[in-house]
Amino acid sequence: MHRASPGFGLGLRPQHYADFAAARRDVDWLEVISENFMVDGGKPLQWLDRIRADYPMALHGVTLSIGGSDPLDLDYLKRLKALAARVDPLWVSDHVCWGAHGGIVAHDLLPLPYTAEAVRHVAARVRQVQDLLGRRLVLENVSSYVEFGANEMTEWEFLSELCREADCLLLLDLNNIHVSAVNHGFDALDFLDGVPLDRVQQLHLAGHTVRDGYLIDTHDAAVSDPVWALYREFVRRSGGRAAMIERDDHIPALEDLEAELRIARRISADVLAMPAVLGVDAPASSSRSPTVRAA
Amino acid sequence: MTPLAALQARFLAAVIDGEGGTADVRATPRFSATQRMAVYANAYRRRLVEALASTFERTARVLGDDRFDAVALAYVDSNAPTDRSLSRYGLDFPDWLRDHAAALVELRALTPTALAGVAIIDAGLRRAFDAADAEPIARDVLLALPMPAWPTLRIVPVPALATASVDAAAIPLWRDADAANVEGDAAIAFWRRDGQTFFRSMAVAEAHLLARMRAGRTLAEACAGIADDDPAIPLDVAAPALLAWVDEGWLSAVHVDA
Repeated sequence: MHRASPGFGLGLRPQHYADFAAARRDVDWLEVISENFMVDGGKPLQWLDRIRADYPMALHGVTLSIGGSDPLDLDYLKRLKALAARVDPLWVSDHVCWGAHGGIVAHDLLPLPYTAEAVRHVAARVRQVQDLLGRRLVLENVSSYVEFGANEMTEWEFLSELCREADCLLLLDLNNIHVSAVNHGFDALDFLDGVPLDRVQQLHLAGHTVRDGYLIDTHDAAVSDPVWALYREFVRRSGGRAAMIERDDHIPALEDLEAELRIARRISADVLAMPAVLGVDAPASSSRSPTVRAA
Repeated sequence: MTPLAALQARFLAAVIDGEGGTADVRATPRFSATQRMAVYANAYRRRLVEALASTFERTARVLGDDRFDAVALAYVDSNAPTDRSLSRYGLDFPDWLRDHAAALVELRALTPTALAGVAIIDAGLRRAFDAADAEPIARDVLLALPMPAWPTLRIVPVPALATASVDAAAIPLWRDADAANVEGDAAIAFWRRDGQTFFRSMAVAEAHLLARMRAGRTLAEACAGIADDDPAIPLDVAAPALLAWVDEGWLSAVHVDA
C-alpha cells in the first residue's frame, strides 16, 4: 500500500540551506514545507533546486484545509501541482484538519470533530485533491487540545475510516499522538493499534512543551523519551517507515539534528534485529510497556 | 449550513474573538474547556504577531519590541488573515500603523508617517523577496543600441522592481541613522538582485522618468513631459538614470523601434 521507505530524513529549514548545499550530509531525504516554495521566484526556489539535486524530497503542506467547509482553493492546488512538477517529490502530504472558514485563514491546524459526516466530507475532498494532483495524498494526524462533544468515534477510528473511504495514506506524527494522548487521557498504543499500519507512509518525530499540566505541540525541542518509546513500538508493529525529525522552532545546528536522526536509525535497527519484530511472537503484555530510552 | 460548517464557524469565531466556543468542547477535571480553547486563541495571536515581526523587522526595531507587540496585537485583533501565505499577512499594516499607532502607544520622537514609512520599506522588501525571477540585462545591451534609436527606447522592468513614496525620515530611521532635520517625502525603489533585496531613494526627476517609462512611454515621450505638472526631464539626467537602472538590475529588456 505504502511506498518503500527512502530512509531517515529531516525537515529542510532555511538555517540549513547552506549546510546542505556545501556537503553531503548524513540524511537520506528531506521534507520541505510546500507553502514556503509556492512563490513566484527568489532565493528560496534557487536553494530548493540546488538541494533537490542531491536529496529526494517530500512536500509537506500546512494550509490545504482538507477538512474545511470553504470550497477547495483551486489556485492553491494549481500552485501545489506546479511545485510537485518542479520537485518530483517522494509524496505530497498535509494534515487531517481544517484551517480556514468563511474566507478567513487561521494559519493553524484546527481539529475536526470525529463524526461520520466529517469522514464523508473530508474523504470527498481528499478524492478531489488526489484527482487534481494525480497522486495519493499522505495525511498527518494533528495534535489537539479539544475534544468535541459531537465526536462519534476515536481519532484512530476516524483516520481508519478516512483512509478506507478516500484511499489515502497516513503520515503519523508520533509526537502529536503523544501530545493528544496526554491531553485527552487515552493510551498512545491504542492509537497505534487502531490505525491501518499498511497505510502509513511516513513518520514525524518531534518535541513538545509542557505548559500548565498539558502538552503543546511546539516542535521546538528534542524528541522526548515517550516519543522515542512510541517509535520503538511503531517499528516493532510495522517494520518501520520513512522517519524524520521535525523541528520548527529553536532550530539547532544541523549536526545536532543529524545526531538525533542517528538515534532513530539505531532504534529502528535494534528493533528490526529482534526476533519478535512485527509482534510475531512477542507477548502481548510487552507491547504495552515500552521502556526505550533515547540514549 | 452543515453541522460541520456550523461548528467550524463557531470555533473560528471563538479563536479570533479570544473567547467562547466552549459549548462544543468537552472539559476534563484537569483541563477546562476554557483552557482548551485558549490554547488555540493564544496560538492564533502569537503566530500572526510573529509573522508581522518577521516581515516588519526594522519597524519592530524602531518601535521597540513591547510597543511593536502592542500595535501588532491590535492589528491582528482587527485584521483576520485571508491569504494562505503567512508571509503575505499584513502587507497593509503600514497604512493601519499610520492611522492607529499613535492612539495605541507613545511614539516619542516618531511621527506616524515616518513610522509608516519604515513599515512601507519593510513591506516593499518583503514583496521583492519572492517576486518572479527575471534575468537583468547588462550595460552592454543598452550601449549597443544605435544612438538614433534611443528616443524610441522602452523598458521592461524586472518583476521585483517596485516603487513607493515615504516620509523621507523613514529612510534614516530604517537604517538606524539620524533622522533629525529630514523633511518631506521621498520616492524609493525596491528590487532584488542575486537573491538579495535592496531599496534606495530616487531624485524627483528620476522617479518621474521611471514612472512614465514603466507606464510604457518611450524615452523621448518620458523626457518631454505632457502637462504643466508633468515636467520635462533633461537627457543628461535621463541617460545616467537609465544606465544606473541597468547596472542595478532593474531592467530585464529594452526595446527600440526598428
